[in-house]
This record gives sequence, C-alpha cells and structure tokens, in this order.
Amino acid sequence: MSLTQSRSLGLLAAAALLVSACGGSATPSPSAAPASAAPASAAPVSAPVSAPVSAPSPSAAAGPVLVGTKYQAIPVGNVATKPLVVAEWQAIDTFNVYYAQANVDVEVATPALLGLINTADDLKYFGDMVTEVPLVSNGGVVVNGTGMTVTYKLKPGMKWSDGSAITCKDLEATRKWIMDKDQSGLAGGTIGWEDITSVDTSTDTNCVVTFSKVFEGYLGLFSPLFPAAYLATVPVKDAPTKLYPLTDLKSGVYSGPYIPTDYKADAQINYTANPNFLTIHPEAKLGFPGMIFKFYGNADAMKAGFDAGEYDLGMDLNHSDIPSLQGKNKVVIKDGTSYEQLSINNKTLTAKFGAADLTTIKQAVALAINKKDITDRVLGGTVAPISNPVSPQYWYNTQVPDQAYDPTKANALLEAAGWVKGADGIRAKNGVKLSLDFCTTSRPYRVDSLSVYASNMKDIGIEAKTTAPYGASATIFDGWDKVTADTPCNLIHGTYDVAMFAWVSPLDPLGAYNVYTCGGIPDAAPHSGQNNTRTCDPKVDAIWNAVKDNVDFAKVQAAMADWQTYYNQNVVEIPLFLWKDVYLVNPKLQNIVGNPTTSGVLWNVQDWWIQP
Amino acid sequence: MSRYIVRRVIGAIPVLFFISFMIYGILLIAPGGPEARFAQNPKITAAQIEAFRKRWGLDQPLPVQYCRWLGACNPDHTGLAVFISDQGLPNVLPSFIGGGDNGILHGDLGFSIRDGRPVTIVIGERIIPTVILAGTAWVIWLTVALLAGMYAAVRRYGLFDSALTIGSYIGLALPTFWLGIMLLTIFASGLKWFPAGGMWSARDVPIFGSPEYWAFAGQQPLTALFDLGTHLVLPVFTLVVVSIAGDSRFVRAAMLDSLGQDYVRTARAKGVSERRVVMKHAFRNALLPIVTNIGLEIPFLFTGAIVTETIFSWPGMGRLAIEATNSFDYPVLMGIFLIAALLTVFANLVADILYAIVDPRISYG
Repeated sequence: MSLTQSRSLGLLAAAALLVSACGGSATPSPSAAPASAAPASAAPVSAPVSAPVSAPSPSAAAGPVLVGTKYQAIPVGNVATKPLVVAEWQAIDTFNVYYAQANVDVEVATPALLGLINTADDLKYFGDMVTEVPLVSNGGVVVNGTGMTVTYKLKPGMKWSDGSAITCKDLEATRKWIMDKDQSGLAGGTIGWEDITSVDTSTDTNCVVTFSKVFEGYLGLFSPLFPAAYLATVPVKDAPTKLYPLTDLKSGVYSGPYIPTDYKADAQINYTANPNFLTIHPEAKLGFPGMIFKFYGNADAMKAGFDAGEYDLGMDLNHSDIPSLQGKNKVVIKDGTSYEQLSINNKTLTAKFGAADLTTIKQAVALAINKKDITDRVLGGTVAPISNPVSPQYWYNTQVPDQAYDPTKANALLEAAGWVKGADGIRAKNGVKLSLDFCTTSRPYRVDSLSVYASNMKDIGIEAKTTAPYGASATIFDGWDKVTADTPCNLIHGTYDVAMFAWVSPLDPLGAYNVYTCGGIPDAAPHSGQNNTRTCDPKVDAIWNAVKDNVDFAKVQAAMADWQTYYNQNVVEIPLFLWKDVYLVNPKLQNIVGNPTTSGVLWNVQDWWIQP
Repeated sequence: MSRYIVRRVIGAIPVLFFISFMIYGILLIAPGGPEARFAQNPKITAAQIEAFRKRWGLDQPLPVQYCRWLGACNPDHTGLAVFISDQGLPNVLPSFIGGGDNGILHGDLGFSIRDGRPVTIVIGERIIPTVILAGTAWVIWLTVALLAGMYAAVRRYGLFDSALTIGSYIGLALPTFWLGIMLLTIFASGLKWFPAGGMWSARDVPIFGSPEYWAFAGQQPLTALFDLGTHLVLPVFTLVVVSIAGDSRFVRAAMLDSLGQDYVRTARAKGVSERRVVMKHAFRNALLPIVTNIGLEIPFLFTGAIVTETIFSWPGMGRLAIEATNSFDYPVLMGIFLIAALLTVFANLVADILYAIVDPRISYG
C-alpha cells in the first residue's frame, strides 16, 4: 500500500460515529463522516452575545468565507435553580471523544471538553480556545514547500477545571498521547497527527505546529484538547478504561461549561457548572447550575417522556419521526447533512451489462426514479428531493443541474444504446436482460420506497427485483468479516446492484475522500474503505488529491465544484433527499439553534437558559 | 437432607463449568466481535484493530481465552508460564497461597469491553433495579395467578373461569413491546399519570443507588418511595399482564388434576368442608408442579426482562444484556450467563427441597 493510500485510509471523518450512533432500529446509516474539519469531537462554544469569531479577512473574500458566524445568542435572562435535562435514547460507551464510535458518545462529552476550533450553526468556523481561526489568508497557516506550519494562538489566561493553565504544552501532550505506540482504538485514527513533526511549546499561547505535509484537515485537530497534566496520570495503554473513566468521571479534568460528576449506565449523567469556563469565555453566563443527560431505552419512550415534561431537549430524531411528533410543543426541525441515496454498484453492473453501457444505464435509472413520489408519498412531504448530496449550507456546495424525473428521456437513452424491449416489456441486449436488484434496510420508509422503484423501472423496461431484509437478516452494513462474501445486499462486499441507505456529507470535504477514490474500494485488505460503489476513475482521484493537498480553500472549493459536476453527470450515486435533524424542545428553552455538523445541537449549550 | 444438599452442590460444579465453557464457545464462535465497532471506519488501521484485539486477549485461541476468563491462566505470561501466577505457583490457586487474582475462580469477572468498567460493578449496579422491578411484578402476578387459578379450577366452566381463559389467551398473545408502547402512549404521553421511563425523576431525585439518593431517601422517605412507585407502575403492569396468563393456567390445570383425584372425592364423601378440601387436600397436592414452576422463575428476578426494561428505560439486567449483546461485550455477557446458570441450578435445588416440605411422602434422607 502506498503512503498516499495509507494516508487516505484515514481521511474519512468520523464515519463510524454515526454508524453506531444510528445503529439499532432508528438510524442505520453509515456516514461518511462528520469530518475532521467539522470537529469530530464537537465542543461547546461561543460567546453569548456577539459571535466569538474572527471576522472574515479581506483576502478571504477571494475564496470561500469560512469564518464570521452570524450566530448571536439571546442574553441569559434567567438562571434556573434546577438543572437542564437533555434526553437521548441511545446508550454511551465512553466519555473519551477520541474513542467514540457513536454520536451519543460525542454528545455527552460536548458540554465538558472544548476543541481549539469549533463550528457554529451557520457552519462557520470560530475559535473556541484560540483568538482566531488560523488560515492562509490571516497568516495562521504558512505553506513551506510540501509542508506547512499552523499557528494556534490560545486565548490568554485560560484554565482547566482543576485550575491549571491551558498552554501549548497541552497541544503537544494531546499529540503525543494520540501518537503513542500503546494507543489503540482511536475512532479518528492518526491522520493528520502523524504529519505533525513538532509543536513549539516555548511560549504558553503561541502554539506553532509544524506539519511535514500539507494537511487540509488541520482545522479539526485538537478537538478536543486534553490537559497535559491529566494525561500524564494515566498510562496510554490503560487510557480506554482509565482516562475519563465512566466509573469516576469526577477524576477527569475538563474545559467545557458543564463537567460530569456522576454516571449511571443506561440511565443518567450529572454535570455541574465549571467555574473555570469563564476563563475561556469570560462573557459567558450559565443559565443552569448543572445539567443532566437522561437516557431512554428507545425513541418511543423518549417521545412520551417529552409529553410528561421529563426533559428540556430530546435529541437524535430525524425526518421519519416527524409524523409521530404532531401536536407536540415544540418540535424544532433543521436541515441535516445526512443524505438518503441510491448507491449504484459499478462492479455488479459492469459484470452484468459491460462497461460500455454502464453510464448510460445509470443515467437512465436516475432519470426514471421519481424522487418526488418518495419524498411526498412515502415520506409525507417531510423532506424535499435533491440532486446534489453536498448540503447547500456547505461552503463548497455547487449548483448542479436537477436530476429531473424524465422517463421518456430515460427510454430514449436505453433505446439508443441498443437495449430493446421484449414481449415481457423488459429490455435486453445481446441476450442479456436489463434486470437490477434493488435492496435496502428494514426501515419502513425504505421498504415502502422499493415498490416505487419497481414501478419506475418497469416504465423504462428495466426489471427491478426488490429485497428488504428484516431484523437480523439486514446485513447491508455488516463488516467484511461478519458476513460471507456472497451475502446479498452487503455494501462492503459489493453484493448489490442498487441499494438505498443514508450517508453523511461532511463539512470538511476531505471526509469523503475514501468514499470515491480508487484506494477506498474495500475489496483489498484491510477492507476498510468506503467506496462501496466501486467508483474508480483517474480523473476522480486527481480531483480528490487536489482537495487533499491544499490549504488554499479557494482551490479546494474549485476542486469540489469539479467533483460535484462529475458526480452529477456520471451518476455516481442517485441522491434522494437530505435528512432532517429533529429536536423536541421545551418552549421556554432559549438559544436552541441546532448544528448539522458533529458539533451537534449542544455546541452552544453554555448559552441556553429557561424563561421563567 | 443436608447430605443431599451437599451432594447436589458438588454435582452442580461440573455442570456450571460445562455450561460456562459451552456459552463461552458459542459466544466466541458467533460471527462478529467487539472489534465490529470499527467496521466501515477507515480511520482505524488493521494494526490498530490488532492492538485492540491483543489488549482484550481476543487474538488468543478460544481455549486460552476461556482459560484466562476462568482464572487458570495468567494473561501476563506466555508459553507454559501462562499457568503460573506472578507469585510462582499455579495461577489457579487463590492469590493468598501464591496463585493468581484474575478470572472467575478468583472472583474476578474481568472488565467490560464496552465501557471499560469492572464487570462486577457493571452487573452489580443492575441487580437491585432488576430485583425491585421483577420482584414486585413476580409477587403480584404469582399471588393473582394462584388465587385466580385456584378459583377458576374450583368454579370450572363458570363465568370467572371463562373470563380467565379468555384473559389468559389475550395476555399470552400480547407482545410485550406492543403492550408497553401502548401503556406509554396512553398513561405517560396522553394522560400524563405516570413517568415515561427510568427509575427515578431525573430533575428532582438523585441517581438511584448513589450516596445522595440514600441521603434523600432518608430525609424524604415518602417522596422517594412514591417516586419509585410511580416509575414502577407501567413496567410492573406490563410484566404482570403478560406473565399472569401462563401461571394462572398452570395453577388451574394443577388444581383441576388434583380436584379429580380419589382422595378429594373421599374427603368430600367424609363430609369435609369444601374450603378444607380445596385448601388442604387439593391445593397442597397441586403445589408440587407449581413449586417447580415457581423455582424456574427465580432466575428471572435477577436476570431481568429484556423487552420491558428496554421499553421503560429501566436500568436493569435485561437492558444490560441487550446492550452487551449488541456490542459483543463477552465479559459482561459471560457474567450475566454465569449468574443465570447459577441461579437456575440454585432454584432447582430450592424447588427440590420445597418438594420435601410440601409433600411429606418425599424424603431425601
């Protein structure tokens, strides 16, 4: 495996976070990743009033505007006597974000640990622990040949929860801890970290980090930052069980507004206000004396608990929950960044119909799928059809032509390619019938969608065989070793023609590198790539390498525009709709603005307060 | 009797070893493993996964893993030295005479792969909640089932019997998850009479089992009891409804069988009161199969009700079992299964002892 390949293995951001988070019955969507630049660890954030952010620099105007959030909190008007109660319906495995395999693990750590840089609800980066977001345009990033230096300027006077100072030594210690030889099970791997050759600790606040390579994802490193002194107390080999241990969360050292005090498995975590948070955000005024994470056993119980007034915010719901939330006061619906898609497998289609007609067939299928039927009829209009999987909120989103529903054009395409309808209405060419296997998970709306696809395909002379596995037989997301190579409808083994599921479009584009480049095809050991469609085109690799090897975000944006055009024209996938992030919110709770990145809705928890 | 008990206890030891080996083997042979959490996460390299497997001993052959779990092998040694403790004697011996301190032979159930906590703590904190829930439900359904089953047998084909029969079939047919969700929808979400989940009110009551909780319960015992009681209503009702049906049918059948015996007819012919016939002659003789059934229900008090605990967010053993299964947490699963096996063996022994108490004809002398 080449160095580039081995590096690229790591580029998919926090995919597994959502994979497991969404596991179980409610959200089985592997996600390509919240991305390194969209802090995979999510940290709480921001100033209560004005945006705690560096303003967009003049030179940034030439490229995408990555900073300058417009978020403004309503000033805290009341300090409650009882804690804030936040509800989840999935259980946690760890409090250490670097080992987090599920979104809920990130959520619980969000109020307690900050990263250097965070993402606001309008997807602008801002400094949580630094005075400005380092960019090429403001001199924070300097490219030296093939390497680069990034200067993180820490806010002066910051303190950890134990009263010790937050300094550049903490950056160095975090890096060393991640790269330690005894380290195992890091959810985010070591990508980017392994390129750091030094951290200048000669001053306390001017932390110059030197990279041996240009690394576009530097904005997501040090999220969160760990305290050097605390790291030194636990041998790295014992870190998975003894660093921020669930048995004794009090023993940890934190930086966020609320720090954990007690944990009861599958039931509750208690937090108390961190007095030293004010050294990081002096303008902050916490609206609660503490907070509670309450864990329900399932989403239905959590919804019922909202009606019973058991909590202030219910999380981890999506568009498919919307019909069951009618009449609840109040439901907040935000655009998410997961997208539902039809993944088309190049390997099986090529084997069946030959490489020459691959793109034509995919284009015909895309034209024949009536997305509006899915979004309106199957999902009751809770979502809207899309043609681009990249969230329109993202800085690198590009306008692409609509994949309009046009079965006439689809028929014409197939006709022109020599696929002729037989007596049974199914097209064939050289004795090969145009038949596709459609499969999905056991999610009800996906199962319902299969009949729409079958009907759409019949209209253009394609036979659609549909499979919706149930319960334990739903093996679509199972890993390489968990199922045999011939298990039908398994993404990693590529045993499907067309599969419906959800994926995450990451804020840091690099997070999708391994989903579309040749090196990400999981057929070769260690079978960890996520290029399930088996897309392999030198042009595509060149585009993605341009993304990877740049910290000039204007160039990254241009490369991503090329990619979105290619994606659309060549029907790499058929994007269907963007998911919704749905929250159950106490109507008196202020400053809930959501956040589609892994920073999550809790990113500004220090600004929350309850109206009396 | 005491010789019988000792004999049974000694006989249980190889049974438990056999059960533990079988369960361990089945768990580890099953597809997947704790490292499945890294599937589809390309940020984790093969080397990292291997390091994870090594850390948890998952890279070892099954017999070695079992040997370590058991405590006969020392996980820190290799080769033949694996059988030797750090003190230099066979690891299987207790640590105070030079043996090891790992494995169940030394009272160490290991660590949860899922969250890194000691299995004894993970399981220990679940036992009381489960005993409270399952115990409350068990006492209620057993009492009602005994009374209803007896009455239905005595008034065979009467209105009550027919109603109980229909009610039993409905109870048996009701899926627990459906009933639980309906109860949540009606009584928690709709009427707001009872809480939707958990064991205590998060906002008002400290975490159950914490020192703060006991202090709170000491200061405001009625509030604490009322809070616990309101959280118990819906899950207990669910368990009672779905469990009462089977037991009441069982009691009814045993009583009917007993009531049809010659000695009952003889007692009636001798002019013994109906109450005495039912209670002393019929019920006493019907107790044997009932005691067997009750004995087999004892493990449930500790192992919990998976579906009910999950639906009502009860932090008990049942919910732990499902979470551990989902994450291939072998040490926790082994701990749960071992306790279940122990309790089953124990419950059978108790049932056998009770035979001798309820039926004087039985003697283990």
